Amino acid sequence: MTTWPLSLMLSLAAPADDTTMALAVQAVHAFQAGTEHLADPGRARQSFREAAQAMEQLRQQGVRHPALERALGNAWYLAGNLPRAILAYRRGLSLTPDDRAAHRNLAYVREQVRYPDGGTLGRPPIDHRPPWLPRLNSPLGGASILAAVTVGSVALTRWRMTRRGPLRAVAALAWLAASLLTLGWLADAWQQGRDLETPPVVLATATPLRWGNGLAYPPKVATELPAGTEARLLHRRGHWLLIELSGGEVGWVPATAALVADDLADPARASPAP
Amino acid sequence: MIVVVLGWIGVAAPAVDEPPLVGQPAHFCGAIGARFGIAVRAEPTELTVEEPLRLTVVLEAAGGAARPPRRPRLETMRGFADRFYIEKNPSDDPDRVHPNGQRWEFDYRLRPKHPDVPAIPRVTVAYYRPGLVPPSRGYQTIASESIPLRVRPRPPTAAAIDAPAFLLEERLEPERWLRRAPWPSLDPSWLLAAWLVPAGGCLAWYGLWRWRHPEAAWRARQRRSRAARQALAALRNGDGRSATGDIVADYLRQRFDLPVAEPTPEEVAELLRRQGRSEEAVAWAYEFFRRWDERRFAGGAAAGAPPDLAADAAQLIALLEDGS
Repeated sequence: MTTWPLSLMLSLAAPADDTTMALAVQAVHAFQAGTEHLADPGRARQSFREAAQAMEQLRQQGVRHPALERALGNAWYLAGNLPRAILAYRRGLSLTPDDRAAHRNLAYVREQVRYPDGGTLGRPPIDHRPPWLPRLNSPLGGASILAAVTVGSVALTRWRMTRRGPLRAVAALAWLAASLLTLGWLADAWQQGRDLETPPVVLATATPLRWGNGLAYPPKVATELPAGTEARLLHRRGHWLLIELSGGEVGWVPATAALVADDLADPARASPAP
Repeated sequence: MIVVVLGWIGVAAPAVDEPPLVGQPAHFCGAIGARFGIAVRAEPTELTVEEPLRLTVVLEAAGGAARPPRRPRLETMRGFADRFYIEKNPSDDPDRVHPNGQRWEFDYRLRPKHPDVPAIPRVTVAYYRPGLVPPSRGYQTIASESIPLRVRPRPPTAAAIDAPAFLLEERLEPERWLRRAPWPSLDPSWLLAAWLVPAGGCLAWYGLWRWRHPEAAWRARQRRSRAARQALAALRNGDGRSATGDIVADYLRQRFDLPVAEPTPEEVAELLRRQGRSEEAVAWAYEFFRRWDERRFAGGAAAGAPPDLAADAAQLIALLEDGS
């Protein structure tokens, strides 16, 4: 009935292509070189940049893994590119929302964004999801729902047969758990669909939020949005992007000033390394 | 090194004549003579922002000078102050004078302010040529060519990397990156299956069980009534605290809203008929309460329920529950 466990096991066991592995090893070596030359910041940053670029090449080859995205975020941050670091962490968290290390790193990097004093314009959205909660529209969540529904169904059936009190309580608890897990599943599926429909955007450079798609349009607010500001992409027109900030403000920014996570693949379709 | 020399004209110097204040240009350098030439050279011409360069301005008199020039003031000339930081010279005297006394060299230390400085602008100098009428026409202006420059932006200063240890000490596992993402998302049909498959399986199981164990199903239904369960338990216990008829009457009050505390057989039969119970159940109930009344009024109730009456009571409850 199910094929994913088999395919998952096969993919876990599948050896990567030599060139891909070489690229991954190159990235690791460059990162390590950066950590060894911290006393020479210029050289260290160059090494971290090389590591990040090698990891980006891995992504271009179709490699998708939360650990890679986290390492990529670290490399970009250490190379001095804060917006790309934020984008990498967010991509990783879309794969595994319960990656605590990625949450911690993202929180740290967000603190380095120089938002204008006062107000909440451009500040990142507040994530109400518990950081320990795994993504539920996954095999783990599916198995949990299946187990809860099974326990609930069996307990209810046995209670119908025997009318023993504890069985009814067990059934009620199991159905309640199954219902909550199902709500979580639906919420995660909705969030994933939203990420694909309106992908996250991170501003690469400080730029004003404009009323229209051109420099002739005046800024909507007096202060520029700082590099590292997070938003969602609503629409593209030419070389301009219509974005929505976490506070609901909508406006235009040049495409050259923004990084778009438009390659957020549905993990179900993410292919293993060739 | 670039050297540009302009307009040398050899004419004999006139006699010394004091230059008039009228018509004196701002860039007058104090030199008096028939003809002067100007040249400039700069070293280096390729440099980084704010890196110093040496500019040398050469003034040379052709045919002698009645008065030597003073240091031209670059900061007052167009295009210098906004492009260069100009280091102040301690003296207005020339840095070098040619042995023939006809050539003066002035050195300047300039530092370009930004990478958009394309050239050293023209150095403009005025001297006074005596003998012209009116005397104010004696001021002559000479200018050098500009010198192209190539100014590179300053490389970013490498500030120390300020990062917490957890960013630097992250364990990198390349073989792990190349695996499939650990938890792919599932199709919504999985959710439907997760609900329907166990529920459907259990439904089938229950149906099979009922088909194979009909009496067990009856017992199960019997237990559904809490009142029946309590009444049956009281009958089973038989502890003498409650009489059999009272137990059944209490059950009827809870289950069928019997209004009276000590019903007669007729009242019970009437109630059950109104409730739509079977004639068999009504007959059982009537007979039970009739026998109970006989026993009670014969003085046997206080001693508890005899086994046969308790069994009848249990059977009556079972009949009533079966018909519900």
